[in-house]
Order: sequence, then structure tokens, then C-alpha cells
Amino acid sequence: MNSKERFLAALNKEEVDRVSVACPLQTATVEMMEEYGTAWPEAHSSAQNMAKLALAANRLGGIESVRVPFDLCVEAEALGSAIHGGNSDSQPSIKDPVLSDPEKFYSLEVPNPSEAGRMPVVLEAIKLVKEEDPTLPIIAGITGPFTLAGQIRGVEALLMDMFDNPSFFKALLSFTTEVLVSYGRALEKAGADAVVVIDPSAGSELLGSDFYQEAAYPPCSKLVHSLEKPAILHICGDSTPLLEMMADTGVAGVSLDHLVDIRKAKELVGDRVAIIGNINPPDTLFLGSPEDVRAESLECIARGVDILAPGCGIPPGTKLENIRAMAEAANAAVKE
Amino acid sequence: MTSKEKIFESLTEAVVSGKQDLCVELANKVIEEKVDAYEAIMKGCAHGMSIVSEKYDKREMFVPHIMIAARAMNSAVEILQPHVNVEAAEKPGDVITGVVFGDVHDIGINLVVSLLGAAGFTVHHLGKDIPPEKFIEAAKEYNTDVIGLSALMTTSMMGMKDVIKLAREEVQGTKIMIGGGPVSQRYCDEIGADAYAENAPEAIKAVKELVAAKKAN
Repeated sequence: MNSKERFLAALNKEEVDRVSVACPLQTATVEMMEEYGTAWPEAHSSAQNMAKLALAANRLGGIESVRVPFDLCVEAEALGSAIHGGNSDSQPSIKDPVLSDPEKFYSLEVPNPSEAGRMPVVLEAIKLVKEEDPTLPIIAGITGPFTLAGQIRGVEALLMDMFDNPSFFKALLSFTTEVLVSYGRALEKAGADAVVVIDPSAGSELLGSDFYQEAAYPPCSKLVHSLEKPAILHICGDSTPLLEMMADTGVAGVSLDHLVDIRKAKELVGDRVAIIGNINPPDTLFLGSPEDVRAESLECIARGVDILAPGCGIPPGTKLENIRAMAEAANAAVKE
Repeated sequence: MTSKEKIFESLTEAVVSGKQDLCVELANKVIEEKVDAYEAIMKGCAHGMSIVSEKYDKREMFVPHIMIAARAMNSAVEILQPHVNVEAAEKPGDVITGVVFGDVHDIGINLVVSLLGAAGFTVHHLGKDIPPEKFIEAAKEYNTDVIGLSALMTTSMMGMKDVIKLAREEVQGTKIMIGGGPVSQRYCDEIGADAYAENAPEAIKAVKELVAAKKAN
């Protein structure tokens, strides 16, 4: 099996020769940038640099997938939210939500993915990676509809809208869903093998399962059902209380934060979706030794992950030897 | 129950259920009936907020509940505050809060600010995306007891180290508390912060302990 075949088989819960090691979240590190001579923030807005740096995770770190882009602001930026570009070790972030004045909502349009903001950069980067190495699975990241609504409205304002102006809230969520369906399909058409929906603002500590079910689940499920390639859902924090609903969205896999107990997750949804995770990114990958990473990787595998991955984005200061230790553990696990 | 206690109880309930209009109405009643405004803030509003944070701890309430409760509370406090007899009110401590440079996620820290305010602390909230020097300038200006730092991203949390380094050089007495999604006790120990708080209610406890430790020195 090559890396792509193994990853897709694992995601579809088919038989594999060994555990797949991938990263559905951001993969770039400062060492990769130095080694490849292409750094943030430039790599966020140049397709060639993005493709090169995304491939570095495989070439230098041994991760058997390629993930684009490196940040979570592409859609909000394309809709007109002001962005901080970030530095070589910090990601772009939202500066001003475009809908701090809600009246502007009525003049927003669904952006054309081949023209708006950095959307065409990501589409082009996918094509470049595919040309360079068709044996690697390409995972394209998009924002969850609830999180995108928070990015363009402001999260606090959005939560208040939920109580104060439910019809506006609903209209906003169906708009962000429409934006993401159009962008998600474009990513698939460009060659993405899987789409990962990242919905941090819908986290269980923030929303709780009742609000999740009422507000964040329906648009996410609609988005997932509108995509053609297998989808993965990542919600930050301890997503255990949400897991069954996350599986109900129709995704092929759930990507789990390190706070989730894999055995519990297997028990709840392991028969329906692939379990992806969940090495602790700050404590183990960033601060730990290669031996710590190896031990935790083997533990994740023993607990039954279908795809071994970090529990969230890789901290940019992470050492390459630690990332390689994760990949090596997946290989070693077969023999043990 | 005296009529004063009845008003406090209604205020508490109005805060817990996030009823802003009712909070305003009750705060006006406190003024009209010449009830002590500070007592109304502490026994009515702050008590309500502490019930909300207990329920949050037990996962019976979530962030949207806290936000409407905080909004309801703030609208009552705004009416009551000008009537507080300043000398009678005890001020437990002075706190600076903010989200570190490169990070704009401020829901968590906003909750901490609301709860600290409700607990009587003087809070200077600097906002989000704050460079290290700004924290130190403010700490000097207010002669503050505690700096509370928040970060939500594995990419931005590294900036906490810079604030701590500067603080150790320039404002030695000031304690540093850190919190936010990716942050842990281990990271707190690693970068030499004085306390780690897992969530907003824990942060209030941690600040109280840090202030007590500082005053004991």
C-alpha cells in the first residue's frame, strides 16, 4: 500500500497493512521553513511556497499526508474580515470581523473560490502537490460553519445573536454553510483527497452539547453531506460529549484532541467512523523528547486509533526529530 | 426575609437566568429604596455570577449562559456602581489581563474579567493581541498584583514566555497566571509562571491565592 491508499483505506475503515500516520491539522515548523528556504507568512499567500512547505512535513518529518493551508482564516478573509499576517512562527489571525456591523450581512456574497482572497492559492497548491507526488493523500482544511460565522461576526456577538436575534443567527449560519460548500467542492475538484472541517468555536467546553446540537451540528452536517470526498471533523478540546453527533454529521473520520480518551471514543463511535489522533501537541510533540513521542504514539496505536496523528496543529517550534519519532512509531508498531 | 434580602435574591436569580431588563429594574429599585449599593453588587450580582460559574464547572451551564449572565450583571452593576461608598468597599487586589501577542481569542479571558470584577477585584483588561511590553507598562502604572495571560493557539502560547521574562526583570513582585486551551500545568512549570488555571472559575481561585501569597511576603 502507498501512503494515499493506506490513509484512504483507514479513513474508510477498510483493512490496512499498518497504521496510517497523518496530520489533518497544520504541519509547518520553523525547522522545515529554514531547511526549505520558504517561511510564513509568505507561504500563506504563494501557491508554490505553500506546496513546498506542506510537502516538507512528509519529506523531512515522515508524515504520510500533505495538509494545506497552514491557517484557518482563508474563508473569513475572502469574505472581507481584516487579517493579521502572522510571523514565521505564528499563524494569521482575524483582526476585525467584517460583520461587527450586522447590517453589512445583506451585502455579502458567496465568494468565487477561483478569485477570492487566498482561495485560489490553496487550490493551486493542491494541484502542485498532486503533480509532485501523487502517492500522498492531500488533506484540505476548511472552517466549520459555526466557527466561520464567529470569525466574520465576532464569537461573542454571534453567541448573543443566538439569544437576541435568532432569525439573523440562522440566516448567517446558512450563508456560511453555502460559502463552505462552494469552497469545499472547489478544493475537491482541485485534487484534495479528503477535507477536514475544523470547528473550534463549536467545542464542548464552549457550547455544551445542547447548544452544539441546536446551533453548530445542523449546518456542519449539511456541509459534510454536500461534499463528495471523505470528510474529517476536528473540534478542539474534550469532544467526548459531542462525539456521537460528530459521527452523525456523515464524516468518515473524527480527529480528536489529546484530551479525549481514545478507548472511550472507540466505544462510542469506533464502529462508524475512523478515529484519528491524538498525541499531545504542546506537552509531548513540542516539549517532549523523541522517546516521549514514540511512547505516546505506541500508546495511541495500542488504544486503537485508525490514523495516528497529533491532537491538534503541530506547534511551529516542534523539533523535526520529534515529528519523525511519530512516523517511526507507526512503522515500528507492526513489528511489535 | 427582609425586603432588602428579597431584592438581593431576585437580583441573583435575574443574573443566573441572564435577564438583563429585570436586572436593570431591580438595580433601580435598590437605588430607590436606598438599599446599600455595594451590598447589592456583592450579595445580589456577584453571588449570581458565582452560582453561574459553579454550574459551568459542573457542566450544567456553558459559555453562552455565562455571557448573558455577565451582560445582565454588568447592566445592574453600571447602575449600582456610582452609588457605592468607596471607602466601605474592600478591594481584594489589582489584576491586569490580556491575550498574548498574535492571538485574538478573547472569550475565555472576558469571562475571567467578568468574574474577577464580580469578586471585587480591580481589573485592567488590555484586550487581545497584546505585545509583552504593554503588559509590563501597565503593571508598572497600576502597581498590579497579578498579570493574567491567555492564549488559545499552540502557535501563540509561546509568547507567554516573553512576558514572564520581562516581568521578572522589571516588575519582580508581580505574579503571573496563565490559562487557555493548549496551556497546561506542565507548560506553566516549564516557562516559570506562578499559576495555571484550567478555566475561568479556577482563574479566580488562583488570583485569590496569588494575591494572598504576595501580601504574605
